Amino acid sequence: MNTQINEVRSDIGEEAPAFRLEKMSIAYSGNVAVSGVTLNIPQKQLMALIGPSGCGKSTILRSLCRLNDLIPGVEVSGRISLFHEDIRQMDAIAVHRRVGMVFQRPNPFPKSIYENIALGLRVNGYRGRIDEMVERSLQQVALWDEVKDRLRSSALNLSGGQQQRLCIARALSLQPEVILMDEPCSALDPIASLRIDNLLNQLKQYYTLVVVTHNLQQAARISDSVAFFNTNNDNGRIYGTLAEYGPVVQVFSEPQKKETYDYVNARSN
Amino acid sequence: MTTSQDRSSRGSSSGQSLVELTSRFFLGGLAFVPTLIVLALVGLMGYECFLFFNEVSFGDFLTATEWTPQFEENRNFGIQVLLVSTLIVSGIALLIAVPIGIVIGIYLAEYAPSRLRVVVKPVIESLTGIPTIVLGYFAYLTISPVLADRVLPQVRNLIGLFNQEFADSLSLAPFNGLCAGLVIGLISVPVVSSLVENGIRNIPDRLREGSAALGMTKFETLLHVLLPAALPAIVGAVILVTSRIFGETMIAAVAGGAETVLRFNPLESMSTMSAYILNASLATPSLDSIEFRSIFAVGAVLFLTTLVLNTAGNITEAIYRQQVIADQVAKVRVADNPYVALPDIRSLIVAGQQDGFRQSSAVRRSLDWVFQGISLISVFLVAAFLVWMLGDAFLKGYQQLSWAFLTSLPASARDSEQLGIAAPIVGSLWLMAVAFAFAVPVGVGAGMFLEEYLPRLRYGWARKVNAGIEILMANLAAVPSIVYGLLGVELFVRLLAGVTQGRTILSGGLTLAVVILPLLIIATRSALRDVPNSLRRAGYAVGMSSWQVIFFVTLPAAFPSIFSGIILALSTALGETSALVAIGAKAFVSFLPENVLQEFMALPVQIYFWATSPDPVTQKNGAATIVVLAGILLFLNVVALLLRSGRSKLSRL
Ligand SMILES: Nc1ncnc2c1ncn2[C@@H]1O[C@H](COP(=O)(O)OP(=O)(O)O)[C@@H](O)[C@H]1O
Ligand SMILES: [Mg+2]
Repeated sequence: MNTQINEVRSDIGEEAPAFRLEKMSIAYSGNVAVSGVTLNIPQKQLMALIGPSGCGKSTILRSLCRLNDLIPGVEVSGRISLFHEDIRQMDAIAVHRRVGMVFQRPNPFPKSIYENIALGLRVNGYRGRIDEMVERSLQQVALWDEVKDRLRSSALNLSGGQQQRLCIARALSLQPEVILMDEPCSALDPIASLRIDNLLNQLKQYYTLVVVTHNLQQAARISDSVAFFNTNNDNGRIYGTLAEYGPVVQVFSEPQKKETYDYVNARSN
Repeated sequence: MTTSQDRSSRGSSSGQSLVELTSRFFLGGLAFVPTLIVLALVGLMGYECFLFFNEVSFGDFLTATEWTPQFEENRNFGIQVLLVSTLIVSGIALLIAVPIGIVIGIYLAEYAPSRLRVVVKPVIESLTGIPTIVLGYFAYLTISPVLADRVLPQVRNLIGLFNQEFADSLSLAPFNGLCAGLVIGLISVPVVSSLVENGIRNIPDRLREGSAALGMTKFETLLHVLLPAALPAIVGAVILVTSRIFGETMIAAVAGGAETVLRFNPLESMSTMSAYILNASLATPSLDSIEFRSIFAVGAVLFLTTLVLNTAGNITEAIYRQQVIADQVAKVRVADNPYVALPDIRSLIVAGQQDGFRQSSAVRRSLDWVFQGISLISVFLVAAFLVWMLGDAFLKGYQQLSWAFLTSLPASARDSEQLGIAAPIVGSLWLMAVAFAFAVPVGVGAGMFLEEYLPRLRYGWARKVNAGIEILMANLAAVPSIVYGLLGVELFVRLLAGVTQGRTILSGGLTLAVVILPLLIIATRSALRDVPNSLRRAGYAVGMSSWQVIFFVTLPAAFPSIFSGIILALSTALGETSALVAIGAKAFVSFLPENVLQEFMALPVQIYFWATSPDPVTQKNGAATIVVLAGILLFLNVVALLLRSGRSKLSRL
């Protein structure tokens, strides 16, 4: 396979982190989902978030781009800063623009391929030429050659993998610094996911990427660092915590905690 | 899901399968009743129309500009006259119902906090539960004078600034198309709002998240993503409400007036098609006169128009629901090629260059607040209308309320001081008894057959048959009740006169049965659909056969919902006025009916006759009767609501 070799970087913490999470806890209508997460997310790298279902990976991801604002009854405590700025003090729209998000199931709008990208640009008052940005974004996800002759046809006619790459292009078009992805390949066939992996390996040189995945092989293939979350059972109250994080090689081959070792080895066999 | 094939293959003994077969044929026969109703409607209306067009040429019907059936010498039947009035009144109603309904529907789907929603939704929807005769009365006696005395002078002053002559020419007739249109529009708001709300709710959350992640505000998501996606649902809602508005009878007849003159000015009296049918029926023309036939000709136009609109609206809604499901699946499954070389993207990257975007988020976010403000004003308008109307009737009528008022017969038709409503109360009770004796077994049985025996029609070409049945039911439920009134006159009063003795309780009750039958079938089907399949499987697991599962497991489980459907149908039937007027309910009888073959009065019909009386005491009696009827309906609706919420608590256990 021509999967690009993942050059592992171990320079965590040397550059200023993109995100700094301090003692972050999130509760849904009083029920704590994750508690006490302190974590630095390095910039221009790919960090994978792994852990069992329900440990709060999606919850963390959504609060990084303030999508939790949409859900009534969510309380976030602690501090999340994006390049030293507390994101909860920032303008929500600016956060959405600087931090893109790609979801588990591809969710293109029921509009044309062109319009899927142009809409976000137009609504956000993009000053440049929209046609040009649409082309650029599609090229970055290697979709341009496949769709350039049918930009006006519905995005819903694309295959699942193409739809997901369109959604990535849509996020890229707003020129974000960070892109968050919640299990971006779990609804795709293996070949389409491999293409996305290759794409992520390329994009991480220019963007900060945070990717939730259940697939440990994928995590190993694409990430520079890994954060492992686990569920805790405190007298029947179940919530997630960050168990450990570090460079990918360290988490996979020399985990500091037994729970990490168990998870990594149970899953990869 | 268990298919009916494997359900039916379980009949063990031959006695069992005989019961099975009997119940299947019996219920199947009941399910055929709606089709019979359609055939009777088309056949009988067609017959009367045929007789009508033997005397009046079709060309004249379309081109004549007068409608004068009462003139012996120069009779004219120009449908334009009625059609223009109908279009003007409906146009005004649509101008109210569509924007307010869409705004409220969007608000309930996207903005309303859930605590507010559980209050606002029932308040808005209770508008559909108020008998239209009550609303017509309110429009004529209260709104029309307010418009004439308070609003019109202001409008005149305003217009006078530009054109004094035109301003002076404005005057509002006591009966006028404007008032009728306004009130019909207000009560049609819930029809639009609930369809729009459902349409928007059907859109998966993934699209909302997708657009929020692109920095769109809620309002922008709505405008650019949700509304375009829900457009077919909205178009369907507008078509369906147009059909409702076209068929609305009592408000148009009471507030709009009876003048059949070709007019374009909504400030004057104008008779819509349905109002003409009602007013002409009131005169109880002889069954073979041209006037009588003209009623059917107008009825046929009304029926066909609403049928076409309803079919179009229901098909649009059905296609929309299919589309929403289909959109969740990627259509083309081309395998991706993983070996495509990635282009060099270094030159394309523009990460983190935020100065490429304008900063305008304050203005953008304010639109959310503006929209919520508009929504709350709309909700407030509708609620204020409701409170005003109920309060008005109560204040006018409560002094008349007494035990004697409820239990005495009028001493004479002229002596209004001594009027009591015992006769209409007993008449309404008789009518309900007859209507429900027929409609409940047929409606529930037909619903059971369609839902429990027909599910095999869920795939292949037969799926279309099932979709057709749904649209047929929805159409039957939406046929204007005045049209059912005409069916009742022709079928029960005339053809079956040997059985019904003409304009009697039996004829009236049977007509009401036809009106509520589609409601009962729809309620039964949705109640059965909500019964979890695991319950049915449990029945089969202990060796029950198909009919036993239906009668001993499914039906009891669905009973609370079916019962609440029956109560809602009861409240519809109790408020039904126009069909009974067409059948010939009396304005006055001096005895309490003792069997179903006597003439009758009914509560809403009593309101109709009293409310428009010039005598103030009689008017007050009309208001008191409204309070009585509204009280009964409120009680029934609360019971239905409690039944439903009790059930949803049970199913959560
Ligand atoms: N919208 C929500 N409302 C209430 N609880 C939620 C919501 N989303 C997630 N949760 C709860 O938060 C916990 C973490 O969920 P999630 O972040 O989705 O976990 P993961 O993505 O790791 O599987 C779960 O217990 C889940 O039930
Ligand atoms: Mg998740």
